[in-house]
Amino acid sequence: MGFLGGRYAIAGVGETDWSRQSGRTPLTLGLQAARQALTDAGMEARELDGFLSYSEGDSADGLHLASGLGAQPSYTAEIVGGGSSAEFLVATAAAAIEAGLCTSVLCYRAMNGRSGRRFGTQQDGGFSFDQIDPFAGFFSAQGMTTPAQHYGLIARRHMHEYGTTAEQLGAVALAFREHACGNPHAMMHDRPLTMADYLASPLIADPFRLLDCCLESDGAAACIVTSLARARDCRRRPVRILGAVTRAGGPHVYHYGLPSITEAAGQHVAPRLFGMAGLEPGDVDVAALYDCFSFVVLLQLEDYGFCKKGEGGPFAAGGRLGIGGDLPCNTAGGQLSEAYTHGMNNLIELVRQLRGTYTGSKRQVSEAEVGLCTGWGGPEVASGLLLGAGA
Amino acid sequence: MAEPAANARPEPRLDGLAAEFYAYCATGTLRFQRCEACGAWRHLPREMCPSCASSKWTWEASSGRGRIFSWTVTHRAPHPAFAADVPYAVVVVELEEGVRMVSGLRGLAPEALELDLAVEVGFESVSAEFSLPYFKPSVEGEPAS
Ligand SMILES: [Zn+2]
Repeated sequence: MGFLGGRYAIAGVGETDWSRQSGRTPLTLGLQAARQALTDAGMEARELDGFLSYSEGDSADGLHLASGLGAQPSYTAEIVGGGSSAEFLVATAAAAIEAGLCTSVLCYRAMNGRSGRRFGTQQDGGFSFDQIDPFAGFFSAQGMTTPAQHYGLIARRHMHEYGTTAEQLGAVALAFREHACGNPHAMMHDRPLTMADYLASPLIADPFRLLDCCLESDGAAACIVTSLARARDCRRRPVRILGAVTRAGGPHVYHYGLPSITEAAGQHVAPRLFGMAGLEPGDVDVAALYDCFSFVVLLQLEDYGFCKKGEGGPFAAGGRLGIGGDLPCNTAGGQLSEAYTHGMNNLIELVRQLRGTYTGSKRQVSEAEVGLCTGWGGPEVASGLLLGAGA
Repeated sequence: MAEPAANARPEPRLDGLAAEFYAYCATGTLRFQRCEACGAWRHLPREMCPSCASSKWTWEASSGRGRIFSWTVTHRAPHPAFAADVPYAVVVVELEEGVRMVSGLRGLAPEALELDLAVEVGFESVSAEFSLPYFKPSVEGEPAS
């Protein structure tokens, strides 16, 4: 039962500080996060023989990272992509171990997302869809070069079809900011937010305001995937991989040509993911939903079956995403308020919740046994992990 | 080939099926692929019909008329080439043939946009090889230009 018989686990997690100007290379950042994850797991660097990362030409590759740790790799890969990659790496790491290619894998994302290549602007050599999407020219020629503009088109249609409101988007931003205020490590730790602040924040790509958009961060995050048997001997309680779906989508990638543009690839991930693990949305105790934009969270609440299609807005506005709510979500502040690493920081927080790391503090989700982590690589592609508190 | 200026408007790569699509735009006509097997229209240009998987198609003329399906208004230019244009709208238009096209908007202030507003295509010549299609409010009773 479950992904690869439930025989794999996350044994260690680590990250750097988050900043706007790290003053370090992605390689140095990656090494720092890797050492944190090793310390967390109580493992020696030489035990790591798999290195997987994702990048859009802005990271440090596994071979150099392994070299910097003095580890001897037998399996390294760097995949192109942002959102949906963290889940892909964790699943692929377990599959590679199962196949006998390696035994313990470091999965990481290292980037200078603010001081280096930025994703929300093409100024100063920032990210461009042209680098990954052969269709990009059809959009960029119209002045449409950023994710905010693409998802803004979907959000506007969602508002039209379902009556979704700015305040409902704001409810996501406020919930995650409240979580950041409880996380001393978060970039927005000391910046409490009110709905009035949210509504007063400037429009970037209508209907998105500045505070609907994720942060831009320098930093790195890493986790170690190994066998459940090995993880049981590590310092921390293992977190088991119960289900995994990697970069799933529909049969055709031109989203605006689909019958409904307000449905996203998560709808293809959810049935396989929950079915594989023998679980249902109602079993999820704590979630890490990909949050490059507040609206993307609403859409995934629908796609993954936490509410009906079109009801993501009222669901979020009902206070359910807070710690103590029905579905505590992005409890370290998420990419909206902790840091932006294309999802890896959200995954790390989920692992910590399932370990009971914060037991005794307000940050701990009570009885956190099952966690869902989702990745959004645009409306066309999504990934998901179901994780379980290990024994 | 000279490097484009840093603040030049981005132009699509004119290769493959995109080159064919924009070659029609340069003559002032909007054409989409239509499947020879099942008759379905499609955009963006692709090698295969998403409805029936046939790889046979023809380029057929669109009426150029459609309705606003969604939009976003850019308030902070993501690229220096568009800094003077903010706020500007990017729209999704559902053409009469059923295909949806992401395009620019002319002849209407972004704040006057409405869902289902009737629009028709127009073209701006950017260079000898490249004309940019856009949409503008339809004039009742007149054929699309
Ligand atoms: Zn067909």
